[in-house]
Amino acid sequence: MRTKPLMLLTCLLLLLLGGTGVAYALWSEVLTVEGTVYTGEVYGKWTSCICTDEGLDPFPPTWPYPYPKPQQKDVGSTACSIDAKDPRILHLTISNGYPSYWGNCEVHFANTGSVPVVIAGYKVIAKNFTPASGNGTEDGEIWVKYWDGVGTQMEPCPDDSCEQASSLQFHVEQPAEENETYIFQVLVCLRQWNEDADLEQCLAAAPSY
Amino acid sequence: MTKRLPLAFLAILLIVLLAGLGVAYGLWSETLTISGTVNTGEVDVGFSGPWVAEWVEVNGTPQLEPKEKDGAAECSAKAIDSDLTSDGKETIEVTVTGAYPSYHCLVKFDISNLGTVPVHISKPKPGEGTPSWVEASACYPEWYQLHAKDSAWASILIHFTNKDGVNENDKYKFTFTIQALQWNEAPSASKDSVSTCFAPPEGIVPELQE
Repeated sequence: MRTKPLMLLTCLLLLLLGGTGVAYALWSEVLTVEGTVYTGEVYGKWTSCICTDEGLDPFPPTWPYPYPKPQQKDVGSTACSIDAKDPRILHLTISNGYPSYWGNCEVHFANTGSVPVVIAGYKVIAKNFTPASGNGTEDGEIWVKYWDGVGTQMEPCPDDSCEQASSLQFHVEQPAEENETYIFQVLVCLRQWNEDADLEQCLAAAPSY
Repeated sequence: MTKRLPLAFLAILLIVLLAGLGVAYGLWSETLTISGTVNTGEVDVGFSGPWVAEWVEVNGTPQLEPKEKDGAAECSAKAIDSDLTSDGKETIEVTVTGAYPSYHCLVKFDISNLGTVPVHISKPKPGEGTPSWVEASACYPEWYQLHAKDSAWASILIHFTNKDGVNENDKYKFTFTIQALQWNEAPSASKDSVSTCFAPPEGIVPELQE
């Protein structure tokens, strides 16, 4: 009768020792994957800008008025430059504008990031005036129109498709006031190539500057 | 069961909203900006002067007013700033008192482009009720082009004879207007027309005998 608890204790001791023997005796190896992800960048910048007014004031290709074109004069002027600190901003300044003053600027931008992008769209924002609905419609102070390849995919530079040429036209309409400063912005939004997003989503996601 | 249904619906709604946020914040995008500024110019013209000359014709010969008769008729003119929203003076007031047949008053003035946009100017046009014996002339043709800072001159001659039927002790009013329109939306002067604005204004006052 006294041998039963002794047997049980012996078995338990053996089991514990056996378990210890497995832990120390097993040969093993751990393989580790150490991961580092370097992300790319969606980034674009303006690369050039050329405006048609380099002397005599240009006329629109389609003359919107019932009277004949007058003899050209050098009255208004258009200047265009890429911001020295941030090449994502292009400055367009029209000086001494007057009703019927028109201009056309060819602007170029490039995908200087590392991820292909798609032109999601563009938006013209009139800051302090009513934009005219068309060239010569006279229902606003200034008409601003931007032409671009919305939906076009641009590979990162130096790929051939990394640059895009667009044009911006403006026309000072009859309701424009004298000695006034009218401010507008044209936003061109580039999105990563593989995620569908409309213009508003693209603009909402873009970093502000 | 009836309690679990809204909970499940809420969970699905939460997932959908989070997915929506994921699209909005997860998208990589970049905005390029064209920052445009349009500074407009100004159409603004004004008068300078005026200068007044008086003389009389005695038996058909123009001469200076004799001293003792100088005060009988007087002519004065002044430019007034009638449009406070723009530079310069836009009105000339001419007053003639004691006028009599063969008395002449010539008012000469300059029209200057004070703005930044070239303008085309009309000749002085008589207003309604202006007597025929008040005449305007100008150194320039109709719709003459006036560049910024340039000037042209015009004049008004007040002179009547006995044949004009002018009453004594009466009052006659006249007005003349000159239009200035921005160069590209106005008629142009005829190519054959000649301007004498660059020459001294000779001949508008005849040679006067003392």
